[in-house]
Amino acid sequence: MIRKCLIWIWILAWIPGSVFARHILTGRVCESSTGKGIANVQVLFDSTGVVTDSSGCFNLNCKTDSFPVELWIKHIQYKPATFMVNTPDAETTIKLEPVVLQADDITVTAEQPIRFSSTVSARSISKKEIEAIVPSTTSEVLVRTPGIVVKDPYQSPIVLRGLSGQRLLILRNGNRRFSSYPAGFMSHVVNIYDLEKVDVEKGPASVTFGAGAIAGVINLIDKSPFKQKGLNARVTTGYASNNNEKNTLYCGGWSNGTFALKGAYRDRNAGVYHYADGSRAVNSFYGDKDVFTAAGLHTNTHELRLYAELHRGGPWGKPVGFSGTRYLHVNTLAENSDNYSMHYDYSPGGVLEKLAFSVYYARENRDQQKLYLNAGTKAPSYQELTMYSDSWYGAKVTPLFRLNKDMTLQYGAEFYRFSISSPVNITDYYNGYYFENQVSRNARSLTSGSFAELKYRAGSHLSLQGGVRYDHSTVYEGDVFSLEQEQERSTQTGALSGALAAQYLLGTFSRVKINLAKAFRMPTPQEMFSDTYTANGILYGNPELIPEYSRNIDLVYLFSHPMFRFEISPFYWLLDNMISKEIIYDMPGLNYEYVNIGRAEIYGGEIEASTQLDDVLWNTDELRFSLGAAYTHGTDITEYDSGTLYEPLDYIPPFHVKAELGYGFSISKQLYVSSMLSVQQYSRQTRLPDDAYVTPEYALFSLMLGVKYRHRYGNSVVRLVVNNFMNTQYYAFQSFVPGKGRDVRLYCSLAI
Amino acid sequence: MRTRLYIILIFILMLAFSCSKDDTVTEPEIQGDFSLKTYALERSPKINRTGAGLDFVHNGEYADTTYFGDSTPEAFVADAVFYNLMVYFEDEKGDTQSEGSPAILLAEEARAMLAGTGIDYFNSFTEITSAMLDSLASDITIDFNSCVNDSGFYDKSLIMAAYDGCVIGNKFRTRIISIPEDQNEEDLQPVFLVQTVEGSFVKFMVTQFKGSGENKQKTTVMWQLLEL
Repeated sequence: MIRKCLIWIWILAWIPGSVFARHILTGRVCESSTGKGIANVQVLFDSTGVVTDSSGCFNLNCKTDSFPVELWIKHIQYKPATFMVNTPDAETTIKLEPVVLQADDITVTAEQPIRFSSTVSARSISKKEIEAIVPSTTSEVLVRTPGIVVKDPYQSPIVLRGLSGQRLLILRNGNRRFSSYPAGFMSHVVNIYDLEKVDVEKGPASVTFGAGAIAGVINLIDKSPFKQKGLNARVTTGYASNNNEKNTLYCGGWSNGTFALKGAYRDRNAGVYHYADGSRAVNSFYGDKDVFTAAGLHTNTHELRLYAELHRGGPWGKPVGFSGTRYLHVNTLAENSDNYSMHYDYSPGGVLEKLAFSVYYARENRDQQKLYLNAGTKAPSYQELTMYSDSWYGAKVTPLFRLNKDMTLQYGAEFYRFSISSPVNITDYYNGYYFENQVSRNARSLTSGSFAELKYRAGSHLSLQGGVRYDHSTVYEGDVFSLEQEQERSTQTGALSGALAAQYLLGTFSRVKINLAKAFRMPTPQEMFSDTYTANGILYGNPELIPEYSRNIDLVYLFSHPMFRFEISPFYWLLDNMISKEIIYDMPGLNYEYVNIGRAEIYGGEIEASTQLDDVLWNTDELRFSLGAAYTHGTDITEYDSGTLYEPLDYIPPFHVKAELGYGFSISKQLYVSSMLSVQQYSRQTRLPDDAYVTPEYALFSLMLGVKYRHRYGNSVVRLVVNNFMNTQYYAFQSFVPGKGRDVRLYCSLAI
Repeated sequence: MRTRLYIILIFILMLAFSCSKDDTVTEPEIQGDFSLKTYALERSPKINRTGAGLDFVHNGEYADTTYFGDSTPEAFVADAVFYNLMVYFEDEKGDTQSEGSPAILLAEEARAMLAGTGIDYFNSFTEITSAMLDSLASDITIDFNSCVNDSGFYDKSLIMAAYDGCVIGNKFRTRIISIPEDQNEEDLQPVFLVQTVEGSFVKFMVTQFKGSGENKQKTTVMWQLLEL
C-alpha cells in the first residue's frame, strides 16, 4: 500500500515539469470597491491556471499566440468573471465583486483569507467544515488536521508536531491568547460556533507574530458582523447521547453594509461520559455559557470591528484517573473569562496599501480544587484550592506598503502585558491543618516588539520573502512574601528572530516553498517566579531561564488544482535552550523545576491529498475525499558531543493517518443531503523517554449525515453525527483514561 | 528536478523510520516454585495516609493480598506495611510545604534481614542459609509522638532517624541508595528475606521507588514465596 502511494507521489511530483508556456500574462485581481488585492483567486485559461498571491498578483503561462484570449476568474467569495486580454504584454487589472454566498444558512462574504502566500504548510478550516461535524470544542475540529493531536476532547492542550503550550501560538482574530494553565491555551474556553474559520499554519512565524510561534500559529477568527445583510436570527439545539450533553445556541444580527451588529449565546451542560465498555468516566461532567457580541462600521476604505466574548464555565471535572491515580479528583469550581478587542483596517490602496490596528484586553479567573482521597477509607484526605486570576492587554499596528507592483514592505509593532496571581488554600483533613500559601501574586511580563518584512516577486516563477524582528521583555516576580528578600525580582531579555523564504512555481498548479527561520519563545512569569501546584507535584519557577530559540527548515511541495490538491511538507527543527521540567533531587517531595535543557531536534512531515468531484452520479451531487498522514521524530540531543545516547522527547505524537470521504446531493432546489465518513488511525508510539507511558494504537471511525431544507423564510438543518461508531475502547496518546465510547449527536438548526 | 528528488527521498526516509520495529522489552526471568508477584503502591502522602498492608501469606496460603489501612476486616493481618507520613516545613518564601516520609515497617511478629542487592540477586536467590536465619530481626517500635516538632508537625529528621533502626525502613528510597546515571534502579535496590507472621519465608524488594507513566506516583514492590 505504502509502495503504491509512493509511486503516485513520484508521478505527481513530475507532472508539473512537463508544462511550458509561450507567453506569461501578468496582472492583479482586486476588490472592485476597495481596490484591495485578493489572494487565492483562480485565474484560468484553457486547461491551465494559477492562483493569485497575497497581494492579488498572478503570472499565468499562456500556451497560445492567438490573442485576444479570455481568462476565467474564480473565487468562492466573489462573483465569477471573465476578462479579455488583448495583447500578451498588457498589464492586467481585474476587479471582482464580492458575492453573498449561501454557505449553509449563514451568508458569507470575504474576510481575512488565510495567508496563501504563507511559506509554510497552511490550511483554513471553514465554518461549513466546522458545523458539519457538530463539535463540542475547538480541539475536535483541529484534531482532523494531520500533525495535530489532543489528549482529551474537552480540556487538554493542542499539540502540533509534538509542540504545544508556549511553543504553539494561539490567536483570536490575530491577537494572542494567554492562559493560566501551565500547559497553555485550552480550547474549551472558546465557543467554536462563534468562529467563522480556523487558520492553521504549521511552521515558525515569529517575525509576524512574535514569541511562541515556533511550531506554528492557530488563528481563531470570529464571525464578522458584516456577513449577513438585513436582519437574521438562528436557533440551534443539540444533544449528545454519550454524556447527555445539551447544547443550545442563539445568534442573531443586523447589517446594512455600513453598520452591523451581531450577538450569540450558548448554554452547554453535560454529565459524565462513558467509555466504550460502558463504564462511567467518573467526574468528567462539564457546563458553561458563552456570550458573544460584535459591532462594525464599514466604508470603502475603513472598517472598524468591536468584539466582546464572555465565558462562564464550571463547575466541571477531570475524569478520575487522568493523572494515574484513582484517588485524586480535580474540579474547576468556576472558570470565567472576558475578552474585548477592537480591530481597525484602513485600505487607501496607494503606497500605503493597508493599515491594520488592533487593541485588546482580557481577564480570567479560575478556581481549581484538587481533592485527594485516602486510599484506605476513601474519605477526603487533602485539598488544594488554587485561585488563579490573570489578565492581559496589548496593541498591534501593521502598515503594509506597496513599493511597486512586485514588492511590498510590511512593518509591525506591538506590545502586550500579562499578569497572573495563583494563591493556594490547603486543608489537611487527616491532621486537621488549614493554611494559605501566597505562591504568587501579580507576577507579570511586559513585552514589546517590532518587525519588518519584505516580499519581492522576482520574475514570473519566483517570489522571495525576508523579515527580521526584535522583542524585548521584562518579567516581574510580583508581590514578595519571601523571608529572605524585600523587593520583587525582575529580569530583562531580548530576542532576535528572522526568516528567509522562497516560493517557486514549478508549473501551472504546483509550487515549492522553502522557509528558513529563527523563532523564539520567552520564559513566562510562571516559569521564572511562580510555584505551581500540578497533579504530579509542585512545579517551581526558575529566575535564571533564558529565551528558547528554534532554527527551522520547512519545505512544502504543493499541487493545487481546482479538482485535486496534494501537499507534502517535511520539516527539520533544532530547539536551543529548550525550556523543560526537571525533577529536583535536593528538595523534599517529588517536585520539578523549569530549566533550559540544551538542544532538541524535531523532524518529520505531513502528506495531504484531497479531491472534490462535482456531478458524479447526478448533475447535483459532489464527492469529496481527503487523506493525510503525519510523522514526527523528536530527540533531546543536549549531549551530542559527548557521544551518549540521546533520549527521545516527551509528547512526540505517533504516526497517524486521517481520512474523510464525503458525498452530498440535492434532491430538489429546497432539499440538500450530505454525508461523510471519517477515520483517524494512530500508531503505537514507543519511542519515548524511559518514564513515559506507551499508549496502544487505535482507529476511530465517525459518520455524519446532514439534511438542509431551504424554505421561504430561511433554512432548517438537521445533522446526525456518530463519533466512534465502532465503539472502540481506546487511549488517546499519553492519556491514562480511555476516550469516549460511541457518541450520537443530533443537532437541529432553524435560521431566518 | 533535484530539489523534488530530495524532498521525496526525505519523506521516504521518514516513512521508513515510522515503520521501524518497536523496541523489545526484556521480561525478568522467574525462578522457583511459587509465582512472582508485583504491586504498585500509592506513594503520595496525600493519598496513602493510613498505610498499605502487604500480606504475603494469608490463612496458610500464598496470597497476593495488599490492602490499605482502615479498608479491610480486622482479621486481615499484614506482614509489612508501606507507610508514608506527611511532614510539614516552611520554605524560603514563608509558605508551608509538605513532603512524605515513606518507609516499610514489619508487623510485630514478622522478621527480616538484608540478603543482597539488585534484581539479578533477587532472581538467583532460591536457598535460605542458616546465616540468613541467624540474621533475621524484628523491627523496633517507633514512638511517632516523639517525632513531632515545636510547630506540632512531624519532623523530617526525627522521622528519618527513627526509620534508620528498622530492617527495611526507608532503605529503598532513591534519595538514600543514590543511583548513578548509567545504572538502573532495580540493580541497586536491596533484597530482603522476610519471615512472615505465619513463619513462611519470602524474598522481597522494591523495584521502582518512583514509577513511570501511569505509575509515576506509585512505588512498585515485588516478592516471591521461598518456603510456605
